[in-house]
Amino acid sequence: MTALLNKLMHANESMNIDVGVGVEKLRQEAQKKVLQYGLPTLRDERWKYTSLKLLERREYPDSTDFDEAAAIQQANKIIGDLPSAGLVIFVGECCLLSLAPEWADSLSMLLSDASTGGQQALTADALVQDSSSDGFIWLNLTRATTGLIFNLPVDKSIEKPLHVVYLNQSNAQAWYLRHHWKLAGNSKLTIMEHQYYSGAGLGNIYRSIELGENSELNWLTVQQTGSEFVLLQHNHIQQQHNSLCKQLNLDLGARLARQETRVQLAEPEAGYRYAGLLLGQQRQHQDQHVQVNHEAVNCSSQQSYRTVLGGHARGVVNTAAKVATGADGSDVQQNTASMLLSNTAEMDAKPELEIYADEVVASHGATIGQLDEDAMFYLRSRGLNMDLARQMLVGGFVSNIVETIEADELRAYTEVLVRQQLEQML
Amino acid sequence: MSNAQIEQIIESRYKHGFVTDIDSDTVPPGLDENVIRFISAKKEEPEWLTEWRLEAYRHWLNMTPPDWAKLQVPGIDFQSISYYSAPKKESDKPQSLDEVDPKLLETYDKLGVPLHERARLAGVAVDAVFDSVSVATTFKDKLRDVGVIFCSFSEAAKTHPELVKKYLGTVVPTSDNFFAALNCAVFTDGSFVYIPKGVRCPMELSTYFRINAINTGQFERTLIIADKGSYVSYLEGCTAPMRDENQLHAAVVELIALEDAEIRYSTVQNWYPGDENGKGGIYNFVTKRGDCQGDRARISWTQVETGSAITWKYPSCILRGDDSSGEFYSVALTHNYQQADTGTKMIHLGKNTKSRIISKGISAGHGQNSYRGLVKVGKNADHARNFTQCDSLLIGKQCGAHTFPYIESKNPSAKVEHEATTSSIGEDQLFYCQSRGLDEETAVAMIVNGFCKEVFQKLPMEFAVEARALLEVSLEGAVG
Amino acid sequence: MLKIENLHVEVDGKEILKGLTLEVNPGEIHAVMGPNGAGKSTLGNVLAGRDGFEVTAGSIRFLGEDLLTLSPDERAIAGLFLAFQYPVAIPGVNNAYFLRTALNAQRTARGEPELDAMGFLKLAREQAGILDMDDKLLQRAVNDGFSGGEKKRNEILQMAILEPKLAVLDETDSGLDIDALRIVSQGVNRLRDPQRSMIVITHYQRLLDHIVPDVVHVLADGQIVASGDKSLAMKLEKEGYAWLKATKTASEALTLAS
Repeated sequence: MTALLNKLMHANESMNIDVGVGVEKLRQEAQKKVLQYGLPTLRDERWKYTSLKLLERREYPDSTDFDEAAAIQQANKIIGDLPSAGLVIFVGECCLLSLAPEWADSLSMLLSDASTGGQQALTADALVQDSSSDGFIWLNLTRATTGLIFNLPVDKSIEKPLHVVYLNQSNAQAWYLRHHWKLAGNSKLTIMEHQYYSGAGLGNIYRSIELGENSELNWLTVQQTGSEFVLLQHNHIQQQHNSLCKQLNLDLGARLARQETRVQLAEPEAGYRYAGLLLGQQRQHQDQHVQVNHEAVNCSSQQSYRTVLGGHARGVVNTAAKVATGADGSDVQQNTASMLLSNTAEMDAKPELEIYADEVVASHGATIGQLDEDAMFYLRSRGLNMDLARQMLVGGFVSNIVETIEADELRAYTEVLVRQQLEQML
Repeated sequence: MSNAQIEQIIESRYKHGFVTDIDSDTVPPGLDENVIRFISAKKEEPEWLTEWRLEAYRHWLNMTPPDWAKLQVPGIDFQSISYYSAPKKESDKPQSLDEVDPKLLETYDKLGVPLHERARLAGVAVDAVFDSVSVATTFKDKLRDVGVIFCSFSEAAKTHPELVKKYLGTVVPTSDNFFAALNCAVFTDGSFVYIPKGVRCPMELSTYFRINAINTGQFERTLIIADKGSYVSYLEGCTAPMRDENQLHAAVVELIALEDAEIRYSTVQNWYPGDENGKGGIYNFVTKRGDCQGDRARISWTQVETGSAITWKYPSCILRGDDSSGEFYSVALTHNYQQADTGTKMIHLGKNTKSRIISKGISAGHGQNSYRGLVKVGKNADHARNFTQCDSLLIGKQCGAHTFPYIESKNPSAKVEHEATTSSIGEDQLFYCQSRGLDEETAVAMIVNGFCKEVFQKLPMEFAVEARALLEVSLEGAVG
Repeated sequence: MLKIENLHVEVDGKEILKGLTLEVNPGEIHAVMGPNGAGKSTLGNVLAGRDGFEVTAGSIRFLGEDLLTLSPDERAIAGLFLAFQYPVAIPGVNNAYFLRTALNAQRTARGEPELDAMGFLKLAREQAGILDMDDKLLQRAVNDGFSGGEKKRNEILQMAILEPKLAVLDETDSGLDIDALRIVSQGVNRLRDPQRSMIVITHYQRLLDHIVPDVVHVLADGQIVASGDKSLAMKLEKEGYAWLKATKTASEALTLAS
């Protein structure tokens, strides 16, 4: 394990740029934490089902130059004619962007760029995670030099989605990105992320998200990276009074994709909604953890997952909610439904409730099964052959996740992606 | 629990001491191989059993206490415990009920414990007890007629060594967990049951009727074997609080059900929970596991856990045989500063195996109640089926209710369903009851009883009635 | 159209149908009545090809073909339709989409052109109107959250759109109130056609007031024990199924019926 840590700490060092004294200090702190905690193992409760063996076997050479035109072309192809208020492309750790004018006053890109608030964002948020003992979070802080950093002003509402595309042009590298998204009071934003990494590389992405009073974030991520890629993500979301965060994740790709999201509902009436779809095939390993902490009264959280696994795929879904003493009026709902399509697929679900308050309504449900035989017979008795009936039932099984997307164009777009993936799987 | 409280607990243990008189039958506090050899020799155990204990001890030395997750457990100094003390002399026991703590007697009264039982429960010297020996003797005769073996573990090790040797440690291996390993090394006594092929045990077996049951000590060991096509219902514990001086209880229960056999195991646990400030109370760290070895074997655990300061137990089933089934029905109540971390593991290995889990947790006062469970479906467990329902009820603002289920499936034809809810007693429910003339305490008891109904229905009838009364007593002072 | 000979069927190792023989000609409506547990629903399920119903002896020929070698979807494409007693809810699958897919699967298999979304919707709305069925049900998930009556109407709607050659209505009247029964029956009667046959499985005679059968069969203990015209149904209604139990053999029952 120390060998892996060593590899990762020194990977891609040629990208190291001057980050300023303040940030440099933080990094030294972070480095201490990395060495203190090391990388997670199967003995860590949150990594119980996800092994790092694969990472240990790999090498992570330094990066090379990249082809800007090719990246832009690829990104535009991915986005197609979706409505857009801007496009941010990360090619490895390099960044390209083209934004609508309304973004002019709120965006800075590089952590090292003090003039646009990059450093400020970092110093303010970075140590919030100090309670975590996950080495990857600290590794990210020691290594990341770029990320999407913005501070959406009060009352600002941007209708069309901001697209963030993740690509790479070289094989087998390790990349670190660090995002800081801040929505001030009464602001509203939609972000759509498209993760299309390829090759046998490693992506380590960290996001710090702050939602001000009455703000709303619609955040949609399509993860369709190549079948050898490893993607590790950590998100930390802090929500103020009456803010609403709607997160939707489509996990369609990657060799190993693990995402851990921690949500703090710090003030009354804050709401968090998570909808997740894991479609795994071949040797994919997809692992989603969401921990929501209800810290104030009358907050609500909902987590909903659908998982369909074929081939040798493995799915892990850990939904957790903790309601602190005094957080009365909390409403917690979790539901996970999973379907195994093959004898070699495997599903692990862990829905947790930890409740220290009175007057709470909390429930979770988790099911694992296969296609309902009665439903299959019903469809076939109407003339649908086996394959068609299976596709229709699995499509129906996953439909309520995609249906949560309100914008028609985005929903239609994701529906197509889901259908294509299911056709491959069935 | 604050440090001061922990210190108090530890201190009080030292003050009274585990060993009251120093005679040749008692070992001083501490644990090493010699102590284990001493225990084994005292029990006149065969060589293989001594070796088995020693092997467990060597495992234990390399183990660490469990990661307690949600439990606050004061550190336990295992070298300060005395691992063997001979049964108390009759002259040292209370000679009549007049010498027994009046609080205890008051509780018996509330629970409606018959007079002649109170003395036995309170540990009054046997010759002073209005005796139940004659009842037990008739009982033993009946069992002997059908070939059921029901005796103390020590007795079984002597009279049925082949059965003990064949099955001991096959369900809970010596290296299973920290407390199980400790139990294997130092267990003092417990129950042994063997039901022969095709025999339906004619009555509920209860520790109550087991002669020599008194003073089995803090490390109890139970082994129940149901041979092909047999049936047994076993009751452990009783609703009345037992007087007990041992703070740490680490029992092990192993059940083995062969082809077409059925074992129903019911527990009512009401050890001393500590006082309303969380002082004192038993630590109850139990390993209970059943092995459905044969096809169509069935094991059912039912438990009502209201006692102990800390309860840590997960009665589990290994569903090895095809078409075998496991059940777990549980009510766990924590009040004042009690903590309970309980649940079950259902390991589906055979085809068409079924399991059902119904867990009801009630938290009041500063009580913390966790359900922790595992449903695991192996690759070959075609058409395995599990249903889990776990509900938590909160009474008051200082308590906690937690649910930590693990659901792991490797078989596409298996169907696993898990549901959980957490809620507080509804104001409107309370108001409705009160508007019909019930006081708040009665109303709460009624609502809680309704909440637990599904589990109580699984208890043998007399037990269910007692369990209901017990719940009411345990909830006293929970509201208002 | 349909010829069942000496059909024996087992479910979970237990014999349910014990030598059932039945012949249905084009354009005929046959009612199959009988007490609970007689094997009525088993008949419907075997015809549609449900798993777990094991044919141990006998034969079923449908339009000259051996029905038992066909999968459920092949039977549907061949023109067989079962209106389920308990239609299953399928969350997430749009009702109209499902029905159009089914219709087009059948049309494609028969070498007919597919119906486009617009054309289909027009057809579905029209038929829904006839069944006094809310259009909105077309846009909901299949049977999901439907009331008992809505489910049964949805079955008849599917039948009207799929235009089968042989329809088996399994206790279509159960759970319907008088008004719904009338509407559903009207829907069924509109589909009566010299080329289309129906088997109406029911416990009660009241459905047969609305859908008048050509032949009435009484199924008891896995066999047809009596056949006759509509008057047999009337007799059953009046005297109950008990008189059947009093008769010792099928031939006796037949004598009684005639």
